Amino acid sequence: MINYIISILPSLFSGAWLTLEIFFWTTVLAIPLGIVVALGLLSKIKPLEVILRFYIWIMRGTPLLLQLIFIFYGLPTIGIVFPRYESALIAFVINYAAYFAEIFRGGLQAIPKGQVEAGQVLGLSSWQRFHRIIQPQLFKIVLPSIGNELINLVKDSSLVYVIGLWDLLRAGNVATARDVSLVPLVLVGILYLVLTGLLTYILGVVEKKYNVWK
Amino acid sequence: MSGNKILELKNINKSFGSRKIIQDLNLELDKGDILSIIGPSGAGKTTLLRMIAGLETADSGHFYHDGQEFDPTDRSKHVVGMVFQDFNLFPNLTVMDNITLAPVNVKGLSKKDAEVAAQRIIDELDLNEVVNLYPYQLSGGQKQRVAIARALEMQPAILCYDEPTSALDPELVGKVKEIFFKLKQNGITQIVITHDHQFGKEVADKILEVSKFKGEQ
Repeated sequence: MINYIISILPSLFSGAWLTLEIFFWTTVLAIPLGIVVALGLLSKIKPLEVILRFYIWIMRGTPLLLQLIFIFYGLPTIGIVFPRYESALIAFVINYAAYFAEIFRGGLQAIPKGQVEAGQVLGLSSWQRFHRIIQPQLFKIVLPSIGNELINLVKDSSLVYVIGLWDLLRAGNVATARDVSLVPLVLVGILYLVLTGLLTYILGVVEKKYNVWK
Repeated sequence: MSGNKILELKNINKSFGSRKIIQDLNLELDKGDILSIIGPSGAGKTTLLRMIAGLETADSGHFYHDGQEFDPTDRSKHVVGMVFQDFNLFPNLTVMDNITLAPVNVKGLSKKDAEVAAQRIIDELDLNEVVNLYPYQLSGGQKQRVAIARALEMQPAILCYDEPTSALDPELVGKVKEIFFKLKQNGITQIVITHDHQFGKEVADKILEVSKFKGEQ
């Protein structure tokens, strides 16, 4: 049993590595993109707002699985070809940015306008106001919701199996089919729990850091 | 420049839609003056203060500081400071960081220099015990003094207050008066809008009664 587990671990770890890569890049790219989209939504530039609303409607209104298939299998039919890994990243980033944008929009609206005005009267530039006043308050407000989305992201990353990427779930699935054993799937479950557990812990530490002020 | 008014408003007009809020308002203040703006709700007191602080723009009219026309929305000269009704302290920063944020970021002082410079006003406003606390840990009176200190660190010629007594316990009103007179001695011109006529009259050198649609000095 132990020997069997050791024999399939390298393949599971390589799958987990891909899961982590997708998680990392989606987080790093979709959060800033979400903030930019949220600022656009609140910009009062009507055409921009309409376009961004449409984008969010599409991204939240259709399955992520469909978006993945659309980008990897659909777009090549009109001559736009992305490799597997890039297709997955594009789909995840634009999908998650839409969710993040809505979270950030709510967060930005929750910050009293007087905070900005106080910064204005003091002569702070708009970047300084955003960076020193708005952004810390925004992160504190959105952290629990963003945390939820990030935990979803770890699990959603398993959808990349549909375009043939070797992620954690696929690695376990292949081993189970090949060896007719439940063990690989149990290990996959444990690895997901470790990843989400670790993430929950990190989010808790960050939240605590923000709790020194109210 | 002697003889020049520290603040002069000429023919200021402001409407919101078809509603005229302020009509042909004229106003002159000397260095160290305290002006109380009193009047009923909706008479445009806050709008006037916000225009002086550059948070609203006038539809027409001119603002002069020391004889020179100036645009209140241009912050480069730091003519006007503001103490908001609910103080608008930055909740994510300690008292010291609230006070030194603008000197560091706008004037380019080092953190250390800004803290040394802030010490005088911290002593004067009795804030030594709270410099390392966050705004949520402060009482109303302390929050207000931090807001005053924060505004003063940019050395404005004019300090505006929006309803400075409304969020305070009655026994703290006397303390606010003391601060007004102390700042007056330091040559700071102060403009206060208040519902509290008694307070307004006790601190003021000049009173501006803003009736509906029109300001009369």
